[in-house]
Amino acid sequence: MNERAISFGESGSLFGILSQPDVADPLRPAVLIPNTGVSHRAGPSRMHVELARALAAAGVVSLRIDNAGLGDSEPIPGRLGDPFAPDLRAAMDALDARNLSSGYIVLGIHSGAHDAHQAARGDPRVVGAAFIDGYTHRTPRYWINRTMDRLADSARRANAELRPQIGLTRQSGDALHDALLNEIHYYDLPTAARMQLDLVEFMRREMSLLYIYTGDVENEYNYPGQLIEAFPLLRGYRRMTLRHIPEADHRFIRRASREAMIDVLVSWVIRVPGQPH
Amino acid sequence: MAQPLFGMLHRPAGAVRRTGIVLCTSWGTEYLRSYRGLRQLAQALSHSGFPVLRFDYSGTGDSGGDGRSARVDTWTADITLAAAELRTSTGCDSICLLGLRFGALLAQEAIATGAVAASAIALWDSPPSGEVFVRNLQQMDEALNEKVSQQRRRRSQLPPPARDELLGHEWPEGLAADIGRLPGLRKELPGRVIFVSRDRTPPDSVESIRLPDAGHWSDVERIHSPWIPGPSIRIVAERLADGLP
Repeated sequence: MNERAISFGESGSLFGILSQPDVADPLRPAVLIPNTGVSHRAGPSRMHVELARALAAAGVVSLRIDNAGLGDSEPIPGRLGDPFAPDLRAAMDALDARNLSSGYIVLGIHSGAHDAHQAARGDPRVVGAAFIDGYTHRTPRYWINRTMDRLADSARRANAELRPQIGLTRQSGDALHDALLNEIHYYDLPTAARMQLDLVEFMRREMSLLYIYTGDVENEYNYPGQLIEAFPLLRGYRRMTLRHIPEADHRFIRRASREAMIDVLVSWVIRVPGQPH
Repeated sequence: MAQPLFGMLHRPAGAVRRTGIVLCTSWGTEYLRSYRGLRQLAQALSHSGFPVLRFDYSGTGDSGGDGRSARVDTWTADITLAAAELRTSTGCDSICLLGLRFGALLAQEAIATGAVAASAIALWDSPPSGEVFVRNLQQMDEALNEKVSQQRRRRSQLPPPARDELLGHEWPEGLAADIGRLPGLRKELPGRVIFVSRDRTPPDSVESIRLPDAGHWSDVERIHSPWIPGPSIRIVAERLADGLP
Protein backbone atom coordinates (compact mmCIF):
# COMPACT_ATOMS: atom_id res chain seq x y z
CA MET A 1 0.00 0.00 0.00
CA ASN A 2 1.19 3.49 -0.68
CA GLU A 3 -0.30 6.89 -0.01
CA ARG A 4 0.38 10.29 -1.45
CA ALA A 5 -1.11 13.72 -1.27
CA ILE A 6 -2.66 15.20 -4.38
CA SER A 7 -3.99 18.62 -5.28
CA PHE A 8 -6.83 18.77 -7.77
CA GLY A 9 -9.74 20.86 -8.92
CA GLU A 10 -9.61 24.29 -10.47
CA SER A 11 -6.16 25.76 -9.85
CA GLY A 12 -5.35 22.83 -7.59
CA SER A 13 -7.20 24.27 -4.64
CA LEU A 14 -8.61 20.96 -3.43
CA PHE A 15 -6.62 18.44 -1.43
CA GLY A 16 -6.80 14.73 -0.85
CA ILE A 17 -4.84 11.63 0.05
CA LEU A 18 -4.71 8.88 -2.57
CA SER A 19 -4.33 5.36 -1.18
CA GLN A 20 -3.31 2.67 -3.62
CA PRO A 21 -2.79 -1.05 -3.17
CA ASP A 22 0.55 -2.53 -4.17
CA VAL A 23 -1.17 -4.02 -7.20
CA ALA A 24 -4.13 -1.96 -8.35
CA ASP A 25 -6.80 -3.40 -10.64
CA PRO A 26 -7.87 -0.67 -13.09
CA LEU A 27 -11.10 -2.54 -13.79
CA ARG A 28 -12.29 -1.92 -10.25
CA PRO A 29 -14.05 1.27 -9.16
CA ALA A 30 -12.18 3.65 -6.90
CA VAL A 31 -13.73 4.93 -3.68
CA LEU A 32 -14.13 8.63 -2.94
CA ILE A 33 -14.56 9.66 0.69
CA PRO A 34 -15.69 13.25 1.33
CA ASN A 35 -15.54 14.95 4.72
CA THR A 36 -17.80 13.94 7.56
CA GLY A 37 -19.17 17.18 9.00
CA VAL A 38 -16.45 19.77 9.44
CA SER A 39 -13.72 17.29 10.41
CA HIS A 40 -10.84 17.14 7.97
CA ARG A 41 -10.21 14.17 5.70
CA ALA A 42 -8.87 11.90 8.46
CA GLY A 43 -12.48 11.54 9.55
CA PRO A 44 -14.03 11.14 12.97
CA SER A 45 -11.82 8.97 15.18
CA ARG A 46 -9.52 8.59 12.13
CA MET A 47 -12.21 6.51 10.44
CA HIS A 48 -11.45 7.65 6.88
CA VAL A 49 -7.76 6.80 7.25
CA GLU A 50 -8.41 3.34 8.64
CA LEU A 51 -11.06 2.70 5.99
CA ALA A 52 -8.79 3.85 3.15
CA ARG A 53 -5.99 1.59 4.36
CA ALA A 54 -8.34 -1.37 4.73
CA LEU A 55 -9.60 -0.75 1.19
CA ALA A 56 -6.03 -0.66 -0.11
CA ALA A 57 -5.31 -3.94 1.65
CA ALA A 58 -8.31 -5.36 -0.21
CA GLY A 59 -6.95 -4.08 -3.53
CA VAL A 60 -9.10 -0.94 -3.85
CA VAL A 61 -7.92 2.58 -4.72
CA SER A 62 -9.42 5.39 -2.66
CA LEU A 63 -9.18 9.14 -2.31
CA ARG A 64 -10.14 10.80 0.94
CA ILE A 65 -10.76 14.42 0.21
CA ASP A 66 -11.18 17.75 1.87
CA ASN A 67 -14.13 19.57 0.41
CA ALA A 68 -13.59 23.23 -0.43
CA GLY A 69 -13.07 25.27 2.72
CA LEU A 70 -12.44 22.24 4.95
CA GLY A 71 -9.18 20.60 6.06
CA ASP A 72 -6.43 21.59 3.64
CA SER A 73 -8.64 22.69 0.75
CA GLU A 74 -9.16 26.31 -0.14
CA PRO A 75 -12.63 27.82 -0.18
CA ILE A 76 -14.14 28.35 -3.62
CA PRO A 77 -14.88 32.07 -4.01
CA GLY A 78 -18.52 32.82 -4.59
CA ARG A 79 -19.75 29.33 -3.88
CA LEU A 80 -22.95 29.32 -1.89
CA GLY A 81 -25.66 26.91 -0.89
CA ASP A 82 -25.32 23.20 -1.50
CA PRO A 83 -21.68 23.12 -2.22
CA PHE A 84 -19.66 19.94 -2.30
CA ALA A 85 -20.79 17.68 -5.16
CA PRO A 86 -18.53 19.62 -7.60
CA ASP A 87 -15.56 18.69 -5.40
CA LEU A 88 -16.33 15.00 -5.82
CA ARG A 89 -16.65 15.50 -9.57
CA ALA A 90 -13.28 17.24 -9.56
CA ALA A 91 -11.86 14.24 -7.67
CA MET A 92 -13.20 11.92 -10.36
CA ASP A 93 -11.58 14.07 -13.05
CA ALA A 94 -8.28 13.90 -11.18
CA LEU A 95 -8.39 10.11 -10.92
CA ASP A 96 -9.61 9.71 -14.51
CA ALA A 97 -6.40 11.39 -15.60
CA ARG A 98 -4.43 8.73 -13.72
CA ASN A 99 -6.29 5.72 -15.19
CA LEU A 100 -6.47 3.99 -11.85
CA SER A 101 -10.02 2.71 -11.89
CA SER A 102 -13.17 1.93 -13.75
CA GLY A 103 -15.92 4.11 -12.33
CA TYR A 104 -16.34 5.41 -8.82
CA ILE A 105 -17.99 4.62 -5.54
CA VAL A 106 -18.89 7.63 -3.42
CA LEU A 107 -18.93 6.80 0.26
CA GLY A 108 -20.25 9.40 2.66
CA ILE A 109 -20.97 9.57 6.34
CA HIS A 110 -23.76 11.88 7.56
CA SER A 111 -23.12 15.19 5.77
CA GLY A 112 -20.80 13.25 3.49
CA ALA A 113 -23.75 11.04 2.54
CA HIS A 114 -25.53 14.13 1.29
CA ASP A 115 -22.48 15.05 -0.80
CA ALA A 116 -22.26 11.48 -2.09
CA HIS A 117 -25.93 11.49 -3.10
CA GLN A 118 -25.63 14.81 -4.92
CA ALA A 119 -22.48 13.69 -6.73
CA ALA A 120 -24.06 10.37 -7.73
CA ARG A 121 -27.12 12.16 -9.06
CA GLY A 122 -25.18 14.26 -11.46
CA ASP A 123 -22.40 12.02 -12.68
CA PRO A 124 -22.74 8.74 -14.60
CA ARG A 125 -19.20 7.75 -13.63
CA VAL A 126 -20.58 6.87 -10.20
CA VAL A 127 -21.32 3.13 -10.21
CA GLY A 128 -21.88 2.73 -6.49
CA ALA A 129 -22.75 4.80 -3.46
CA ALA A 130 -22.64 4.09 0.24
CA PHE A 131 -24.57 6.31 2.60
CA ILE A 132 -24.06 6.10 6.35
CA ASP A 133 -26.74 8.04 8.20
CA GLY A 134 -27.76 9.77 5.02
CA TYR A 135 -31.24 10.92 4.07
CA THR A 136 -34.14 9.73 6.17
CA HIS A 137 -37.80 9.93 5.18
CA ARG A 138 -40.50 9.21 7.67
CA THR A 139 -43.31 6.70 7.32
CA PRO A 140 -46.53 6.02 9.28
CA ARG A 141 -44.73 3.24 11.13
CA TYR A 142 -41.92 5.61 12.02
CA TRP A 143 -44.42 7.85 13.83
CA ILE A 144 -45.98 4.93 15.68
CA ASN A 145 -42.53 3.72 16.81
CA ARG A 146 -41.56 7.20 17.84
CA THR A 147 -44.64 7.61 19.97
CA MET A 148 -44.10 4.23 21.61
CA ASP A 149 -40.41 4.95 22.20
CA ARG A 150 -41.16 8.28 23.78
CA LEU A 151 -43.63 6.71 26.16
CA ALA A 152 -41.18 3.96 27.06
CA ASP A 153 -38.07 6.05 27.33
CA SER A 154 -39.30 9.47 28.34
CA ALA A 155 -38.16 9.08 31.92
CA ARG A 156 -34.53 8.61 31.03
CA ARG A 157 -33.99 10.63 27.89
CA ALA A 158 -33.66 14.34 27.89
CA ASN A 159 -35.87 16.04 25.33
CA ALA A 160 -33.96 17.13 22.31
CA GLU A 161 -33.58 20.85 22.40
CA LEU A 162 -34.11 22.79 19.22
CA ARG A 163 -31.18 25.07 18.62
CA PRO A 164 -30.76 27.88 16.15
CA GLN A 165 -28.59 26.81 13.26
CA ILE A 166 -25.92 28.60 11.34
CA GLY A 167 -25.13 27.64 7.79
CA LEU A 168 -21.92 25.86 6.82
CA THR A 169 -21.02 28.36 4.16
CA ARG A 170 -17.91 30.11 3.05
CA GLN A 171 -19.09 33.21 4.85
CA SER A 172 -19.27 31.35 8.13
CA GLY A 173 -15.51 31.70 8.46
CA ASP A 174 -14.66 32.55 11.98
CA ALA A 175 -18.29 32.14 12.98
CA LEU A 176 -17.64 28.41 13.09
CA HIS A 177 -15.56 29.07 16.12
CA ASP A 178 -17.74 28.92 19.18
CA ALA A 179 -20.45 27.13 17.21
CA LEU A 180 -21.60 23.87 18.69
CA LEU A 181 -21.59 21.09 16.15
CA ASN A 182 -25.33 20.61 16.33
CA GLU A 183 -25.82 24.27 15.46
CA ILE A 184 -24.18 23.84 12.09
CA HIS A 185 -26.61 23.32 9.23
CA TYR A 186 -25.18 20.91 6.69
CA TYR A 187 -27.91 20.31 4.14
CA ASP A 188 -31.61 20.26 3.46
CA LEU A 189 -33.36 16.93 3.12
CA PRO A 190 -34.70 16.42 -0.41
CA THR A 191 -38.44 16.03 -0.70
CA ALA A 192 -39.76 12.50 -1.02
CA ALA A 193 -40.65 13.25 -4.64
CA ARG A 194 -37.11 14.43 -5.39
CA MET A 195 -35.61 11.41 -3.63
CA GLN A 196 -37.89 9.10 -5.60
CA LEU A 197 -36.72 10.62 -8.88
CA ASP A 198 -33.09 10.23 -7.85
CA LEU A 199 -33.60 6.59 -6.88
CA VAL A 200 -35.26 5.90 -10.25
CA GLU A 201 -32.18 7.38 -11.87
CA PHE A 202 -29.80 5.34 -9.70
CA MET A 203 -31.68 2.15 -10.52
CA ARG A 204 -31.78 2.94 -14.23
CA ARG A 205 -27.99 3.21 -14.11
CA GLU A 206 -27.84 -0.06 -12.14
CA MET A 207 -25.83 1.59 -9.41
CA SER A 208 -24.89 -0.44 -6.37
CA LEU A 209 -26.37 1.19 -3.28
CA LEU A 210 -25.55 0.68 0.38
CA TYR A 211 -27.64 2.41 3.01
CA ILE A 212 -26.57 2.12 6.65
CA TYR A 213 -28.42 3.72 9.52
CA THR A 214 -26.95 3.89 13.03
CA GLY A 215 -28.36 4.80 16.41
CA ASP A 216 -27.13 8.37 15.91
CA VAL A 217 -30.16 8.99 13.71
CA GLU A 218 -32.67 6.97 15.69
CA ASN A 219 -34.82 10.07 16.05
CA GLU A 220 -35.22 10.07 12.27
CA TYR A 221 -34.84 6.40 11.38
CA ASN A 222 -36.22 3.93 13.87
CA TYR A 223 -36.75 0.52 12.25
CA PRO A 224 -34.82 -1.60 9.77
CA GLY A 225 -37.13 -1.35 6.76
CA GLN A 226 -37.99 2.35 6.99
CA LEU A 227 -36.17 3.23 3.78
CA ILE A 228 -37.99 0.51 1.82
CA GLU A 229 -41.37 1.51 3.21
CA ALA A 230 -40.68 5.15 2.37
CA PHE A 231 -39.58 4.19 -1.16
CA PRO A 232 -41.21 0.90 -2.16
CA LEU A 233 -39.57 1.02 -5.59
CA LEU A 234 -36.39 -0.17 -3.84
CA ARG A 235 -38.08 -3.41 -2.83
CA GLY A 236 -36.43 -6.20 -4.75
CA TYR A 237 -33.74 -4.00 -6.27
CA ARG A 238 -30.89 -6.51 -6.32
CA ARG A 239 -28.09 -3.95 -6.14
CA MET A 240 -29.33 -2.38 -2.93
CA THR A 241 -28.16 -3.32 0.55
CA LEU A 242 -29.79 -1.87 3.64
CA ARG A 243 -28.36 -2.22 7.13
CA HIS A 244 -29.78 -0.88 10.38
CA ILE A 245 -27.14 -0.93 13.14
CA PRO A 246 -28.64 0.89 16.12
CA GLU A 247 -25.72 0.02 18.41
CA ALA A 248 -23.28 1.90 16.12
CA ASP A 249 -22.65 5.62 15.73
CA HIS A 250 -21.33 7.81 12.95
CA ARG A 251 -18.58 9.41 15.00
CA PHE A 252 -17.15 5.95 15.62
CA ILE A 253 -16.14 6.59 19.20
CA ARG A 254 -15.89 2.84 19.85
CA ARG A 255 -13.13 0.96 18.08
CA ALA A 256 -15.26 -2.19 17.97
CA SER A 257 -18.01 -0.36 16.07
CA ARG A 258 -15.50 1.34 13.81
CA GLU A 259 -13.81 -1.92 12.88
CA ALA A 260 -17.13 -3.66 12.33
CA MET A 261 -18.26 -0.81 10.08
CA ILE A 262 -15.03 -0.98 8.09
CA ASP A 263 -15.58 -4.71 7.57
CA VAL A 264 -19.11 -4.07 6.30
CA LEU A 265 -17.94 -1.33 3.96
CA VAL A 266 -14.94 -3.16 2.54
CA SER A 267 -16.85 -6.37 1.93
CA TRP A 268 -19.53 -4.38 0.11
CA VAL A 269 -17.09 -2.31 -1.94
CA ILE A 270 -15.21 -5.29 -3.31
CA ARG A 271 -18.45 -6.68 -4.71
CA VAL A 272 -19.32 -3.53 -6.66
CA PRO A 273 -18.62 -4.10 -10.37
CA GLY A 274 -16.65 -1.52 -12.33
CA GLN A 275 -18.04 0.70 -15.02
CA PRO A 276 -18.97 -1.25 -18.16
CA HIS A 277 -16.90 -0.22 -21.19
CA MET B 1 10.42 0.13 10.74
CA ALA B 2 9.79 3.87 10.97
CA GLN B 3 6.49 4.94 9.46
CA PRO B 4 6.29 7.93 7.11
CA LEU B 5 4.91 11.08 8.67
CA PHE B 6 2.48 13.40 6.96
CA GLY B 7 3.30 17.12 6.97
CA MET B 8 2.29 20.33 5.26
CA LEU B 9 4.95 22.91 4.54
CA HIS B 10 3.89 26.54 4.28
CA ARG B 11 6.51 28.47 2.37
CA PRO B 12 6.92 32.09 3.41
CA ALA B 13 5.57 34.97 1.43
CA GLY B 14 7.69 38.07 0.82
CA ALA B 15 10.88 38.60 2.78
CA VAL B 16 11.95 35.30 4.33
CA ARG B 17 12.72 35.15 8.02
CA ARG B 18 15.52 33.10 9.50
CA THR B 19 13.24 31.36 11.98
CA GLY B 20 11.20 28.36 10.92
CA ILE B 21 8.15 27.42 13.00
CA VAL B 22 7.05 23.86 13.70
CA LEU B 23 3.44 23.56 14.83
CA CYS B 24 3.01 20.77 17.39
CA THR B 25 -0.63 19.77 17.48
CA SER B 26 -2.62 18.30 20.35
CA TRP B 27 -4.03 14.82 20.89
CA GLY B 28 -7.18 13.02 19.69
CA THR B 29 -10.31 15.12 19.75
CA GLU B 30 -8.30 18.31 20.25
CA TYR B 31 -6.20 17.45 17.19
CA LEU B 32 -9.36 17.04 15.11
CA ARG B 33 -10.97 20.20 16.47
CA SER B 34 -7.94 22.35 15.77
CA TYR B 35 -6.88 21.06 12.35
CA ARG B 36 -8.32 23.91 10.32
CA GLY B 37 -7.41 26.49 12.96
CA LEU B 38 -3.75 25.46 12.94
CA ARG B 39 -3.80 25.64 9.15
CA GLN B 40 -5.02 29.21 9.41
CA LEU B 41 -2.31 29.96 11.94
CA ALA B 42 0.33 28.46 9.63
CA GLN B 43 -0.94 30.58 6.75
CA ALA B 44 -0.89 33.74 8.85
CA LEU B 45 2.67 33.03 10.00
CA SER B 46 3.87 32.24 6.49
CA HIS B 47 2.35 35.48 5.24
CA SER B 48 4.60 37.18 7.80
CA GLY B 49 7.66 35.53 6.27
CA PHE B 50 8.08 32.42 8.44
CA PRO B 51 8.50 28.99 6.91
CA VAL B 52 6.03 26.79 8.81
CA LEU B 53 5.62 23.04 9.06
CA ARG B 54 2.50 21.29 10.36
CA PHE B 55 2.58 17.53 10.74
CA ASP B 56 0.74 14.54 12.21
CA TYR B 57 2.40 12.44 14.91
CA SER B 58 3.00 8.75 14.26
CA GLY B 59 -0.21 6.74 14.38
CA THR B 60 -2.41 9.84 14.10
CA GLY B 61 -4.10 11.67 11.23
CA ASP B 62 -2.59 10.90 7.84
CA SER B 63 0.76 9.73 9.20
CA GLY B 64 1.74 6.12 9.10
CA GLY B 65 1.43 3.78 12.00
CA ASP B 66 -1.15 2.48 14.38
CA GLY B 67 -2.29 4.62 17.28
CA ARG B 68 -2.17 1.55 19.50
CA SER B 69 1.60 1.83 19.64
CA ALA B 70 1.57 5.54 20.48
CA ARG B 71 4.10 6.73 23.07
CA VAL B 72 5.47 10.10 24.15
CA ASP B 73 9.02 9.16 23.14
CA THR B 74 7.89 8.42 19.61
CA TRP B 75 6.04 11.69 19.28
CA THR B 76 8.97 13.67 20.69
CA ALA B 77 11.18 12.01 18.09
CA ASP B 78 8.60 13.01 15.47
CA ILE B 79 9.05 16.67 16.49
CA THR B 80 12.79 16.25 16.05
CA LEU B 81 12.22 14.87 12.55
CA ALA B 82 9.84 17.70 11.71
CA ALA B 83 12.32 20.35 12.84
CA ALA B 84 15.09 18.73 10.80
CA GLU B 85 12.80 18.52 7.78
CA LEU B 86 11.92 22.20 8.07
CA ARG B 87 15.59 23.18 8.24
CA THR B 88 16.44 21.03 5.24
CA SER B 89 13.48 22.11 3.14
CA THR B 90 13.72 25.83 3.72
CA GLY B 91 17.24 26.56 4.91
CA CYS B 92 15.99 28.31 8.04
CA ASP B 93 18.75 28.60 10.64
CA SER B 94 16.70 28.65 13.82
CA ILE B 95 13.58 26.86 14.99
CA CYS B 96 10.58 27.93 17.04
CA LEU B 97 8.25 25.21 18.31
CA LEU B 98 4.67 26.33 18.72
CA GLY B 99 2.68 23.77 20.68
CA LEU B 100 -1.06 23.71 21.19
CA ARG B 101 -2.33 22.07 24.40
CA PHE B 102 -0.72 18.61 24.61
CA GLY B 103 1.57 19.72 21.80
CA ALA B 104 2.95 22.39 24.14
CA LEU B 105 3.91 19.71 26.67
CA LEU B 106 5.54 17.62 23.95
CA ALA B 107 7.38 20.61 22.51
CA GLN B 108 8.84 21.43 25.92
CA GLU B 109 9.88 17.81 26.34
CA ALA B 110 11.60 17.86 22.95
CA ILE B 111 13.59 20.95 23.89
CA ALA B 112 14.30 19.97 27.51
CA THR B 113 15.67 16.58 26.51
CA GLY B 114 17.87 18.15 23.86
CA ALA B 115 16.07 16.40 21.04
CA VAL B 116 15.40 19.74 19.34
CA ALA B 117 17.61 22.81 19.45
CA ALA B 118 15.08 25.63 19.33
CA SER B 119 15.60 29.33 19.80
CA ALA B 120 12.02 29.87 20.93
CA ILE B 121 8.94 28.02 22.11
CA ALA B 122 5.34 29.24 22.20
CA LEU B 123 2.95 27.39 24.49
CA TRP B 124 -0.69 27.86 23.45
CA ASP B 125 -3.24 26.86 26.10
CA SER B 126 -0.68 24.56 27.63
CA PRO B 127 -2.21 22.38 30.37
CA PRO B 128 -0.83 22.93 33.89
CA SER B 129 0.80 19.49 33.62
CA GLY B 130 0.54 16.19 31.81
CA GLU B 131 -1.24 14.73 34.79
CA VAL B 132 -3.92 17.43 34.65
CA PHE B 133 -4.25 16.93 30.90
CA VAL B 134 -4.82 13.19 31.33
CA ARG B 135 -7.33 13.74 34.13
CA ASN B 136 -9.20 16.23 31.99
CA LEU B 137 -9.39 13.78 29.09
CA GLN B 138 -10.62 11.04 31.38
CA GLN B 139 -13.30 13.32 32.81
CA MET B 140 -14.33 14.32 29.30
CA ASP B 141 -14.52 10.65 28.34
CA GLU B 142 -16.81 9.90 31.26
CA ALA B 143 -18.98 12.89 30.44
CA LEU B 144 -19.17 11.93 26.75
CA ASN B 145 -20.10 8.35 27.55
CA GLU B 146 -22.77 9.54 29.96
CA LYS B 147 -24.13 12.01 27.43
CA VAL B 148 -24.24 9.45 24.62
CA SER B 149 -25.89 6.92 26.91
CA GLN B 150 -28.55 9.42 27.93
CA GLN B 151 -29.24 10.44 24.35
CA ARG B 152 -29.74 6.88 23.14
CA ARG B 153 -32.55 4.48 23.78
CA ARG B 154 -31.92 1.33 25.78
CA ARG B 155 -31.81 -0.86 22.70
CA SER B 156 -29.31 1.36 20.89
CA GLN B 157 -26.62 1.79 23.50
CA LEU B 158 -23.04 1.75 22.26
CA PRO B 159 -20.86 -1.14 23.37
CA PRO B 160 -18.76 -0.28 26.42
CA PRO B 161 -15.40 1.37 25.66
CA ALA B 162 -12.32 -0.81 25.55
CA ARG B 163 -9.67 -0.13 28.18
CA ASP B 164 -7.29 1.14 25.54
CA GLU B 165 -9.48 3.78 23.94
CA LEU B 166 -10.47 7.23 25.11
CA LEU B 167 -12.86 9.70 23.52
CA GLY B 168 -12.88 7.59 20.37
CA HIS B 169 -9.10 7.50 20.01
CA GLU B 170 -6.41 4.99 20.76
CA TRP B 171 -5.20 5.15 24.36
CA PRO B 172 -2.74 2.31 24.73
CA GLU B 173 -1.62 1.04 28.08
CA GLY B 174 1.24 3.14 29.36
CA LEU B 175 0.34 6.30 27.46
CA ALA B 176 -1.45 7.88 30.42
CA ALA B 177 1.60 7.31 32.62
CA ASP B 178 3.85 8.64 29.87
CA ILE B 179 1.88 11.84 29.52
CA GLY B 180 1.34 12.10 33.27
CA ARG B 181 5.09 12.45 33.75
CA LEU B 182 5.26 15.57 31.59
CA PRO B 183 5.61 18.71 33.70
CA GLY B 184 3.76 21.95 33.06
CA LEU B 185 5.73 25.11 32.42
CA ARG B 186 9.39 24.12 32.74
CA LYS B 187 11.99 26.35 34.24
CA GLU B 188 15.26 27.06 32.51
CA LEU B 189 14.24 26.21 28.98
CA PRO B 190 16.90 27.56 26.65
CA GLY B 191 15.79 30.37 24.37
CA ARG B 192 12.71 32.45 24.40
CA VAL B 193 9.52 31.15 26.06
CA ILE B 194 6.15 32.65 25.12
CA PHE B 195 3.02 31.73 27.01
CA VAL B 196 -0.19 32.04 24.97
CA SER B 197 -3.55 31.89 26.71
CA ARG B 198 -6.75 33.67 27.56
CA ASP B 199 -7.28 32.12 30.96
CA ARG B 200 -3.92 31.18 32.45
CA THR B 201 -1.31 33.64 33.61
CA PRO B 202 2.35 32.64 33.57
CA PRO B 203 4.94 33.69 36.15
CA ASP B 204 6.04 37.32 35.78
CA SER B 205 9.33 36.32 34.27
CA VAL B 206 7.65 34.65 31.30
CA GLU B 207 6.63 36.56 28.21
CA SER B 208 2.95 36.12 27.45
CA ILE B 209 0.35 36.78 24.78
CA ARG B 210 -3.13 37.33 26.15
CA LEU B 211 -5.86 35.96 23.86
CA PRO B 212 -9.46 37.06 23.39
CA ASP B 213 -10.80 33.56 22.59
CA ALA B 214 -11.47 30.66 24.93
CA GLY B 215 -10.55 27.16 23.75
CA HIS B 216 -13.41 25.38 25.56
CA TRP B 217 -11.09 22.39 25.93
CA SER B 218 -13.04 20.97 28.86
CA ASP B 219 -16.51 21.40 27.39
CA VAL B 220 -17.93 18.06 26.33
CA GLU B 221 -20.55 19.86 24.22
CA ARG B 222 -17.75 21.19 22.02
CA ILE B 223 -15.72 18.05 21.81
CA HIS B 224 -16.42 17.69 18.08
CA SER B 225 -16.77 21.39 17.29
CA PRO B 226 -14.12 23.21 15.28
CA TRP B 227 -11.56 25.43 16.97
CA ILE B 228 -10.86 28.33 14.61
CA PRO B 229 -10.17 31.36 16.81
CA GLY B 230 -9.59 33.98 14.12
CA PRO B 231 -8.85 36.96 16.37
CA SER B 232 -6.42 34.97 18.51
CA ILE B 233 -4.66 33.60 15.44
CA ARG B 234 -4.13 37.11 14.11
CA ILE B 235 -2.76 38.31 17.45
CA VAL B 236 -0.33 35.40 17.81
CA ALA B 237 0.92 35.79 14.24
CA GLU B 238 1.48 39.51 14.72
CA ARG B 239 3.29 39.10 18.03
CA LEU B 240 5.58 36.37 16.73
CA ALA B 241 6.32 38.48 13.65
CA ASP B 242 7.25 41.34 15.96
CA GLY B 243 9.61 39.30 18.03
CA LEU B 244 11.26 36.57 15.97
CA PRO B 245 13.89 37.13 13.26
